[in-house]
Amino acid sequence: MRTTFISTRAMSEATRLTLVKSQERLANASKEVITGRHADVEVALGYKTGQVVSFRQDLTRLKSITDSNNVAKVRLDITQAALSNIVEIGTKLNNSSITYSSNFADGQLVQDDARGQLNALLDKLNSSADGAYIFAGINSDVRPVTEYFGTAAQTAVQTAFAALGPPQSITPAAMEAFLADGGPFDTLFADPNWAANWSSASDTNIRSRISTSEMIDTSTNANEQVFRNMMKAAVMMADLSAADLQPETLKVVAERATTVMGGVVRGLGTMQGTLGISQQRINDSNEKMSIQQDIITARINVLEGVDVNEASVRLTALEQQIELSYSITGRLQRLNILDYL
Amino acid sequence: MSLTRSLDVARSHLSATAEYMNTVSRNVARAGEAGATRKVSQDVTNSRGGVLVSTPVRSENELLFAKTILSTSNAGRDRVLVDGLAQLGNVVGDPELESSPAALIQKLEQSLQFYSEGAHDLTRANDVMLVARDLADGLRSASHDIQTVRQDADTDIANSVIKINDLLTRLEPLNDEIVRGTQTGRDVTDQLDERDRIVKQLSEEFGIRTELRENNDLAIRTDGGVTIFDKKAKLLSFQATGGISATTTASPILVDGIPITGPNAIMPITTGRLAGLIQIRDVSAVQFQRQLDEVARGLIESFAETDQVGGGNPPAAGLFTYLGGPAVPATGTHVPGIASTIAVHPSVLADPTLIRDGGINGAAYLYNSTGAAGYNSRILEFGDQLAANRAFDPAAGLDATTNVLQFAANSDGWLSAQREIAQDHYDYSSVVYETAADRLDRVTGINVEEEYLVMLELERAYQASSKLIATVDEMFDSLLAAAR
Repeated sequence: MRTTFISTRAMSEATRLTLVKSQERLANASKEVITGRHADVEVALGYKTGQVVSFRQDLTRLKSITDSNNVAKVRLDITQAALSNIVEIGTKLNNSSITYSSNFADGQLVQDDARGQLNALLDKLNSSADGAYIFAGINSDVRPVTEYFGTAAQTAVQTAFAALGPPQSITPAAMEAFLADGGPFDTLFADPNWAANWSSASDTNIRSRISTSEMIDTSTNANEQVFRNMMKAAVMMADLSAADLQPETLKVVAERATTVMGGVVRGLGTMQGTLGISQQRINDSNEKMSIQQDIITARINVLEGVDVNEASVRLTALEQQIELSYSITGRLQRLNILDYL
Repeated sequence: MSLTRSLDVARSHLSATAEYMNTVSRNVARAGEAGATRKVSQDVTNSRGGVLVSTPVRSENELLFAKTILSTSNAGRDRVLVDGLAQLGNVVGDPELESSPAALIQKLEQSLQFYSEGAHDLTRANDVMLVARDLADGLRSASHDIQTVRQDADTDIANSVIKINDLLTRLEPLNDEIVRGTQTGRDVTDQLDERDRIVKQLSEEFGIRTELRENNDLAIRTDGGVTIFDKKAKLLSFQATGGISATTTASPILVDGIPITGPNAIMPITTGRLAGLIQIRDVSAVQFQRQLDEVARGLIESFAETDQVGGGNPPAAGLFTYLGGPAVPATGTHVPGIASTIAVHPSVLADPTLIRDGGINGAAYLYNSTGAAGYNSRILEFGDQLAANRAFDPAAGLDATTNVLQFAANSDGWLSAQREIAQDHYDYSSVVYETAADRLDRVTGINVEEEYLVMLELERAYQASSKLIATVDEMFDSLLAAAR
């Protein structure tokens, strides 16, 4: 009875299989050394692949939100820059109105100045960025405010003013009533007249998703009360200070303009503050997302990656093993009993 | 004891040696052949003290052979599963390539996010439309690829059945010959080797259990217990299914009209290539398709439009529509093959701003009623919808309540888990197979060196017998000389 035996075929088959297997492992190991990832990530990870795919989704989402945040940031920056200009215009208008109420002598000068500031204001409100009007709310493809002089806006003001009768005979009380909140002049700057004569902007601001969970307004619009008031004061000084008005009546106009402008400067400050908070939130969110991206990238690397050192050691070992296999195969080939008998 | 008797014994030994040499040379000639067993001749003393050589017997080991058959079937099934699942894996691709439905949906979310920051911008609308089209195309082609995998498996099954039937047909006369030969004491070792080879080939195709009966008669059952060979072969019948689509149920394999695969099989086969192919065609690919369908349905649901005018109009398929559109399919219910017909709505292809404005299904579904160019609430809503939990059909075998992005990721995970398990099984079963085959080969195979040595022995014995004959001859000579 035989206790041990090896057939010729089993012997050559064994070396062949060893070689094939080692070569396959060698291919995988060299791929792992080069890429730093598992040779077949999916088979290596199994059910954890879902996790990696999920992580990659999160990563893309964070990247895309960061990208779009930068767009929103540009819009906010431009809005802030425009607002700074508008604040300057407001300050000038405010100064003019104060000068106006104390000294009527320079009426014409003040009026000219107010006209210039009104045009500058309209110009700023029509600023655009990235092909969109920044003060238009979501109506971003339409110029938010129209020119004043020579348009329906001016016609409406003049028609309302004409209803008071000849300018010389307008009493201070009548002017007071005309300019008061809810009065005929004020109504021109309220809806629906405002939309009909002045503004094409939408009341709805652009909202942005600035993080996976936060949505904030990232624009303002020309329909904000502060802009209406600013234009109201500018029009008072630019177009109502007809030389024909009685000094007392004129004083009412100037004082009214001063009152309105006082609120405007404060309002603009608040608006800048609000937008500043939005900018801050975007920055915070970008920072947070950048940290999250780092964490997720690290997690993906942990899951998909292989220890390159380990892989290269394995590679060297496999190379030696294969060399050894070759030499053993060679020796086995030469091993023939016929040569010795 | 007479000299004549000695001469007689020596002569019988010479012919026995020739018989042995015959066996040795047969062994040497077949040493490299797979499945060739070592043949051993045995001698018996005849009534007159000489030697007779019996018909040669094989070195065999029934236990090891059975083990080899079993492990061949297991490895065969696992190999097919590894390959088939890898083909399905190609549909998804490496996570890094981001070509899977999960990654494409993520790209869509990305484009939508970018669009929301510039809703007036036609370029961004176009970008969303193109990405959406890629996604729909991706789902359709993935669906097509899955069905191709099924079709290929079906063709392989048909070929496998043809091979099995051919082997069974060859087995029948061979088995008869062996039984008759054994009864009459003929040398049937070559036929036995051949029969073992056929049985081994059969075991690659499907799981079998063999039973050796009187006179070397072989009976074969499937691993499910259905007899397929008992003196006569019972052939398998299979109708290949042409043009397999997501809604096709492919046909089972029958023996005597009784299914041995599929849900109606009482005694189904569980191992061998056939079992693997059936598993790919009827289970894995079908399940993966179901998941893809659910992804498609989830997308259609996420982007569906609802009535905006209070007219009681039903929700309608929006950006993504399908063959059954515009009706939105019922939530949480699998719609077979929906992934193979999902497409971006033709109206959106013509006018991508409909993504922002809605109204793809007419004025009643218009979201942006003022026509504002910067209107982005609908776009932001899409982002919310993609991230919102919704119901998925539990039959898909994944989390039934999750968002469509996560669902797609889970589907990737599911497939990879299947691949990992299959690879593990294969790693194991292939080692078991190799070990069993190696053992069998070692125990029953031929070692050329050993044969050489046997040959040397025989040579010496032959010389001895010849010498004996010569000596007896001399003795006769001297005897005759003395008598003269």
